[in-house]
Amino acid sequence: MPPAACSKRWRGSEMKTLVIGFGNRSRNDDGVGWFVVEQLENLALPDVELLTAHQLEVDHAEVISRFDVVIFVDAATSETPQPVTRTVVKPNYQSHAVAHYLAPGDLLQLSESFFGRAPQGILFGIRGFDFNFGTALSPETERAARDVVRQIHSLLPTLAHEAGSGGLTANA
Amino acid sequence: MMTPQAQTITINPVTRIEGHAKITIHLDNVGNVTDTRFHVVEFRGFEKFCEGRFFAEMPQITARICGICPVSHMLASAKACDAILGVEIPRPAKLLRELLHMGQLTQSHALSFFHLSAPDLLLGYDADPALRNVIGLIRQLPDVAKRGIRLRKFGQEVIKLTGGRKIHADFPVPGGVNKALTTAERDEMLTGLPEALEHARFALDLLKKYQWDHLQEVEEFARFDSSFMGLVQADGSLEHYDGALRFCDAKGNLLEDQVNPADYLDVIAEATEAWSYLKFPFIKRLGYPQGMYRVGPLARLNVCDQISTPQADDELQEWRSLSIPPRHSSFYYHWARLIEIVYALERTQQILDDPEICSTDIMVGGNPTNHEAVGVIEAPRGTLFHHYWVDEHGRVEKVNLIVATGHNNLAMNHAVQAVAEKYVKVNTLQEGMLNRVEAAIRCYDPCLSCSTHAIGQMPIRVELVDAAGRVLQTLARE
Repeated sequence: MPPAACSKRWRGSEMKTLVIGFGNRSRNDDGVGWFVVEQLENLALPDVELLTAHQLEVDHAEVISRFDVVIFVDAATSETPQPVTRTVVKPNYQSHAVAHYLAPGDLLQLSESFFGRAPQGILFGIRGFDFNFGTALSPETERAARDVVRQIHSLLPTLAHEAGSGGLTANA
Repeated sequence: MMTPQAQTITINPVTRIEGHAKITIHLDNVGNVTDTRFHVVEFRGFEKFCEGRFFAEMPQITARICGICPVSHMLASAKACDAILGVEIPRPAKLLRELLHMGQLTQSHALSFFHLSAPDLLLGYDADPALRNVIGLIRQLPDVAKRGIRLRKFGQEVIKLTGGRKIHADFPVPGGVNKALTTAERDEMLTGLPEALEHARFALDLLKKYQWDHLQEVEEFARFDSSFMGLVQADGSLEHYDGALRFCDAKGNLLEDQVNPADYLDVIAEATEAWSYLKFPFIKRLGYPQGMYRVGPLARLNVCDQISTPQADDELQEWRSLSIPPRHSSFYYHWARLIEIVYALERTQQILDDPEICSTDIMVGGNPTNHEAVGVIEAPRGTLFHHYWVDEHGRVEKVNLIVATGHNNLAMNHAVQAVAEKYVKVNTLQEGMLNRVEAAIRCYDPCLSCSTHAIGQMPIRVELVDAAGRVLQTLARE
């Protein structure tokens, strides 16, 4: 799926960072990625572009190929033990049989294969509890989402160093 | 040696919360396939979700059913809303909606063929699944993959230039559209058309070569008899945005013709099964389940008399010259899809050349005048019905949506069964089975994207389970 919304806050720094919040906003907690992006937008962070999407699609490969770091924010199933997981994503294409969506690793691999470069990737998974039809976040998921906003905010200044030194790190 | 007994094979083909879609293959006590069930458990909840909303919100709400085909839902919904208002929208608005639709058809079909199906055909059904995907295609046939990207991008650009955004454009509204086309936007699309058409013809040539090289496999792949349904124009030509419903039987005889889409319930009914939340539409006069029919590219080409654009019509005639229609092999969905891309691009040219295309006469106003309304279009995957009931204030009381994946529900069961009968042996899942089950489903390009997608699920699993619930064998793709 192509960009659904993009707020440009790039101020000329050499480190280009993109945050993609994705999910189905009509399925309650599945839309938590959108919530995080909206909160980040309110912070008016410099040097970060923001994007929301219903799901990751092949068109996003071209978009992310223009960045150094991409932070994905998605819902995680209620079986996930922690409220928030932070994972380093590597290019890794998986077969999805008949589905039309892509996972973050798929997208990085597509970017690398099609455009010769893939950004470094971080995935924040936020545990969801209610995936029924609706547009509200459950209180637990909203709390976790606000924590992710804080984590991303504090992470951004270190990205240039971490990415430049050869690798991002995963933390819960 | 294991004692044969009744078994069930379960395939969970998509990463959805709690397995919102799966396939079960039922075996008898000697290991023969007796039944297959393609379970899809979506949409009904969405209909409930819409109740109580103002009807004019419906194009935007229903567009969020799906991240892949929002344009289709918006257009069907907007047509239903026009009918609630009781208005005929201005001709330029209708042209612009159809232009948006042609962009959607192009990008969706390009994704289906180049990214999902081409790896099967060009790398081989039995190729390592780790390589039999678009990345493998990029490595081995980069030109093919890049053409796919370019073609899809053109379709997306048509949507963006016409509607203002590539996704969830709030463009079709009750009574028309909310944005006129500028001459600069028109000219940009016209500039890109020749290259897009070249990519479509390249894909057609690839597919025809495959067809001739694998004639028997193509003709027999997931083949079964069924009826077909699609929209046609008054003269029987292929139609995607407007027109009337036509049904033909498995021999190609007309069952119903020029049915007003608003009267669809006179011809089709919906059965229910305890194992699926998705209903099973069937042709009333043939009964259930004998009234199974297929929709989508194959059905559209099987029911139409001709195509109104020259290159696509030439392709249709060539397609039909190979054997007596209708075509029943599921493989022919791919071929039909590519012919439809040619049509969509030619139709895009026709629309852009229309002298009224940049007119600003794009909207009529009105108040709710009809309690009940139906909007129908041919979405890329098949006929899409939006049926609304509203109160005197325009508040939605009830919604009925029938999507292509629903129409094809029974047919996909049959397609999987045709494959399973060949590749499931007693107590053993043949290695080629999973690949071909996937490929058979891909022919229909079912849209299961409408659910959630939260991380942490397994993409596909096939389990062979005996009557006692023991897992005898598992094939999984992480």
